[in-house]
Amino acid sequence: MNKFQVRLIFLGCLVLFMVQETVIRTLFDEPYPALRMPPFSGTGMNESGFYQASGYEIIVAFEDDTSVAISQHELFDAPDSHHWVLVRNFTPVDTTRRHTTAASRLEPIRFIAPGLVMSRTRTNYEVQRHPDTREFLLNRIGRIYPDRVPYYMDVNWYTERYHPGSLLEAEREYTGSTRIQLQ
Amino acid sequence: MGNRITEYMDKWIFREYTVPAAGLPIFRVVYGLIALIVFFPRHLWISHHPDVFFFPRVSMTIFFSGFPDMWFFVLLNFIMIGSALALILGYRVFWASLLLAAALLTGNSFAYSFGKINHDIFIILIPLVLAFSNWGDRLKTGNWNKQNSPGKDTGRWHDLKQTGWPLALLAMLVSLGMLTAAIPKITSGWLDPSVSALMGHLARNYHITERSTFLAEFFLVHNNLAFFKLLDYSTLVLEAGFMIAMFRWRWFLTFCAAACLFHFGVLLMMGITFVNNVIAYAAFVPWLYFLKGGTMEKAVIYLDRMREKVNLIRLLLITLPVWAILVFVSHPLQFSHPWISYYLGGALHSVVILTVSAGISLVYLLSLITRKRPAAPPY
Repeated sequence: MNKFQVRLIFLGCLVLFMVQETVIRTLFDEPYPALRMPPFSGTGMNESGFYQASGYEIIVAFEDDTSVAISQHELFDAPDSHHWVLVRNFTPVDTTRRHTTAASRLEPIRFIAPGLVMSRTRTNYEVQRHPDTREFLLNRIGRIYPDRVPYYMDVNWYTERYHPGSLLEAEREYTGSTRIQLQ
Repeated sequence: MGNRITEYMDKWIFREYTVPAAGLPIFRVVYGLIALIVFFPRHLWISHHPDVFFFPRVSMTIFFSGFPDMWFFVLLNFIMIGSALALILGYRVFWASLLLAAALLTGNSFAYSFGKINHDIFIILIPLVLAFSNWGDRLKTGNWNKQNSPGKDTGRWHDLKQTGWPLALLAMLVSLGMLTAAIPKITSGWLDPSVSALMGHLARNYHITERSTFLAEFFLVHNNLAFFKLLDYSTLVLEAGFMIAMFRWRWFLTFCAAACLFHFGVLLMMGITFVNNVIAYAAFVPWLYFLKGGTMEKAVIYLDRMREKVNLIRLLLITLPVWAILVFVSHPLQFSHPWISYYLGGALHSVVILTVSAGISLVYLLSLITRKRPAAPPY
């Protein structure tokens, strides 16, 4: 390796970075690996001057007619950075919506890139109704409450607003629920 | 004009980072130790999840239809731990660096196939880029004498390796990475003087992500807009300023020190541990400063002696018990407790690393202000 080759490496990295930021992110989504840091973009403030975010609570109902709210940290054993993306699978869904167009268009490449087809075509509805999801939740809840029989799990969604003057308190507006039958 | 630009770029690429490059063999040990303390065991949780949660991004995992079994990640941990130990002991450093980078990349690709990417690419870039540097050299070499001083470039590969171009490349990659954090902020309202974006992220992080720290509570009650706007703008200056700072090692080191304080603040306020970034900044520390006798020098001499005795069989024999303890028992140095997370922002091992880096950075920045520069490195 000589000086010229080293210069080429620098230039190549710059070109790759520009391709990553323009082409790939525009056409697809954030790739991995990519030279990116967490953006923390946006201010989160709505037109009324409140900070706004989507919030949720997870409620597990048992067969003995009792229920408990459990935290994401209890439910998932993934790193806490992944809790939001896991719980996002349980957002309320339009059961009539299907990715039929995308599915049929991507079907020919399924044998080469099955993961790409899955990630583009699988809906939240399918995740919520999948027997493996039920099995996973039963297993996780069973670890927290080994002596109780869970009946269903509700994920209640809210829009939370925080006034800049009192950020410790949230004003909640219910936006929907997802129920996962566990029995 | 073109010649002058080439000359300037050459000076930056081949000469600017020669001082910290001299200490890279010591940084290799620091990186290996921190990797063992913080990174591993890694990825073992992935296989607890069914394939219904498999949503790969554009990555190598699009060629798979689900998550691999547990044994795959157990084996991957063996490779990563073995490579980290090889880095510490100085055994086949070039290949160990590439192997560690490849194993981290593979595991991370599956970890981020849930749809969420953690932006910890620096921990992969460090071994990948520095594999081409002198970080595989002996820790206390006789290389750094007047005849073979850092920056003396005769055009041959070995000399070129010692000019520090891999560190200049790493500085450029770190700076570009930081720029990707700055631009979305600049274009999405962080410049607006009437609203603090940081305040919004703090509230969301506290209420939704449930990272509730003592300092977050304090600032959510005492949320002074002027103070938070100052933090907003400081964040932007810091993240975007790396792009200019990278052209001078001392500027870059100053920005790294400021970033360590920034990450320490983020830890206390938001409970997010950016240990990966701090390790990348540590590559630019002139580690030879710390080699002036004392415990560190003794440890270096001891490790150098060990290096002569290490072979593949011995490395595997050392790796096996370490891997077994970390993967099948529990990490003896990783400790977390709700109280520590509440008051200090995270698990104890991460808190210690970020606190030490913030302390060193503060001393360095104060020394710049008081103009008490440390003595030149001992070569």
